[in-house]
Amino acid sequence: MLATASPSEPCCAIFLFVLATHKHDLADLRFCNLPRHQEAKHSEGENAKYESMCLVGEGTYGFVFKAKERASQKKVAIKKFKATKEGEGISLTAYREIMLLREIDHENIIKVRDVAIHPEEKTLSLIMDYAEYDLSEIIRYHHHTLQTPPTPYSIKSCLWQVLNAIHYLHSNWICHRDLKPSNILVMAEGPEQGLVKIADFGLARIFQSPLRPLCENGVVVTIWYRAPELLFGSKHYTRSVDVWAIGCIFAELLTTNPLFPGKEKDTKNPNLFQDVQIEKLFQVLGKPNQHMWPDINALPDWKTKNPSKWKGTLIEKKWNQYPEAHPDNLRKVQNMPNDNHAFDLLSRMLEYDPTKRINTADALDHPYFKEDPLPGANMFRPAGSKYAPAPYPARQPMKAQK
Amino acid sequence: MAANFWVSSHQKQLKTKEELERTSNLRDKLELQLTSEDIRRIKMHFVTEIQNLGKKLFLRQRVIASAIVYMRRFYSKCSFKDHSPLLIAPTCLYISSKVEECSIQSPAYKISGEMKKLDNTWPYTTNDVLMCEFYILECLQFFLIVYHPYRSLIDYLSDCKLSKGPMDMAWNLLNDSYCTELSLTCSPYIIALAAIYIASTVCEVDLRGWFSELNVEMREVMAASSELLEYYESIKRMEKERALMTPISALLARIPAKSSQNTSHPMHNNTSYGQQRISGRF
Repeated sequence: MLATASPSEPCCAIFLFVLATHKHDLADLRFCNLPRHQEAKHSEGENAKYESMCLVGEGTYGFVFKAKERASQKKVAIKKFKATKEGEGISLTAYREIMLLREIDHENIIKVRDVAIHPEEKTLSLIMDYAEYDLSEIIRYHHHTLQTPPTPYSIKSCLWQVLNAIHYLHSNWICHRDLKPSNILVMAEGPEQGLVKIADFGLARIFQSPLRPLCENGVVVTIWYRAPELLFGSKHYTRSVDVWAIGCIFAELLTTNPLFPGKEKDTKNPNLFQDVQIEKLFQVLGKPNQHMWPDINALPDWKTKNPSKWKGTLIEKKWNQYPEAHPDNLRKVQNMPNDNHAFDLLSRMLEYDPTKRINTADALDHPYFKEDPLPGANMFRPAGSKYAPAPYPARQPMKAQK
Repeated sequence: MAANFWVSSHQKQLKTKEELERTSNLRDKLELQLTSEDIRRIKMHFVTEIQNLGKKLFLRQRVIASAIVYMRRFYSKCSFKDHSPLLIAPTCLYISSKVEECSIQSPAYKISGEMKKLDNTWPYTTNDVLMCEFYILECLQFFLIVYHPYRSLIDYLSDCKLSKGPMDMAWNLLNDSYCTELSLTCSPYIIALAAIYIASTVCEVDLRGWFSELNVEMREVMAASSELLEYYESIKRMEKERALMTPISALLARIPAKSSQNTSHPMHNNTSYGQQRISGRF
């Protein structure tokens, strides 16, 4: 039972979390109750504020649980960060995510409803809106089960909302730096059905005037969605790395296949030359040259600048087999639709030269979004159609790990 | 937001001078018999502590400035009595070094080590700093992005073309603004303009035309300027009346130092902290 604090005795309460399977993970939470202050009695089990349902995600950052707020019966996602090494306190990932999400207010970006702190374990959890789907699951379902891509309306609505969110971030000098289908969530039910929510700001940085260069955080962006300038060792992070990632996701929505499914060499050593990934780019887009990308010779790991890195690699051996880069190369990708506007926007997002790559403002203004079908807020079906359950199976709980 | 001060949590948290005076250190005035002047002196003492600690750790000015703002925000809701500034001040620096991503290795350990070196009676441990981190973050409601007037000052200075003398003075004035509560009551651009206003007046450079074209609320600039000048007055006064004043060490002695109650498990000691939280509504 929840008791509301009387105004004269505001009190930070200790909530007890009871979990069927993860008792040890979420026990003894203290909720910071942002922004309201509520009080719940600290007693065994039944007074817990949230009831955990299952584990739905796991990553280097920690775990995500699906849970239910007892009072409202509303589903929430609880992102619990892993504790850092002894003596390091709250992780920087948690810091980055929470300080940015506390400032951000956008309908296409996930909101933090509450923060729970675990002083004994020296870590914290974020309580966020629960989104049933993410794009990687939706794409997988289309690929394996339906064996057709999402409808043109769904793709366009999804892409528009992603661009809308990233445009908001970019105009506020925030770079997401880790865009990939599994970080793009979609709401399943209620008034927000079909609304896209960008999540996972653990790598996001403000780039207006960082005290330390952005590149010192190690290489960012999951390798399949990593922009070419980063693959060639660029130290300058710009907004265009996010646009490249969105381009890759756009292509994946259109064909249901990842566009550049490379293989990361040794994830523990971020400075390795990722020639296998670069090879995927060359195969699909052709090899870039100084003519179409004038700054390429200045990149630390480019062919002419660092020949020793290229020596003996796959891309050196096959160099003469790759076509010269040309937008039309992209047309040969399997299942690539013939829609001219969609294709034009895609090829502008996948421009090798980051200075020529389209920005989010121009992308949102592209003719693709102005022709039928027009994009909508519910990516499952256009405005005006009857409410129906979302056309995908619910998220499956993950197996609990020790 | 990160680039837009006007929709930031920083802007939303700004208080008037009166509000701030009403809510800050309430218990200290009642239960420790500290006057507003005493509280101001104690805060100034810990601003200096943070600056010294920051210099020892080679931290940038912005990191130090953020730590000072965190500490001032913390004590706008909580009291010295419940939370000794001896622990809060270094922990604020610890938090700001993480927010600004200064990669010091094991910062909590370094900070507590430096504190011990600066003051061998410092009664806390690295673990206390780590516990206190939660405490402060919760009190600050995880609003950690702070806007500083440095950027505005650079922009304004390049526009109004002051010569080297008044320009250096404006920079010094800006740094001294952290000895006042201006960061909790004023937008950063107003603080920057106040520094330019004072510097130009003292150095007898006529910037009236420049100011009138700025389209800013001059009243706010004046109010910030007079608060900054008040700070210098109070320094002068302290110099003169040193003999008559309670020494800072005596004031600090009134603040309960480490007690088992509020440091071993500060998070579970929810009464004292909870009492203070009522003011933390924005």
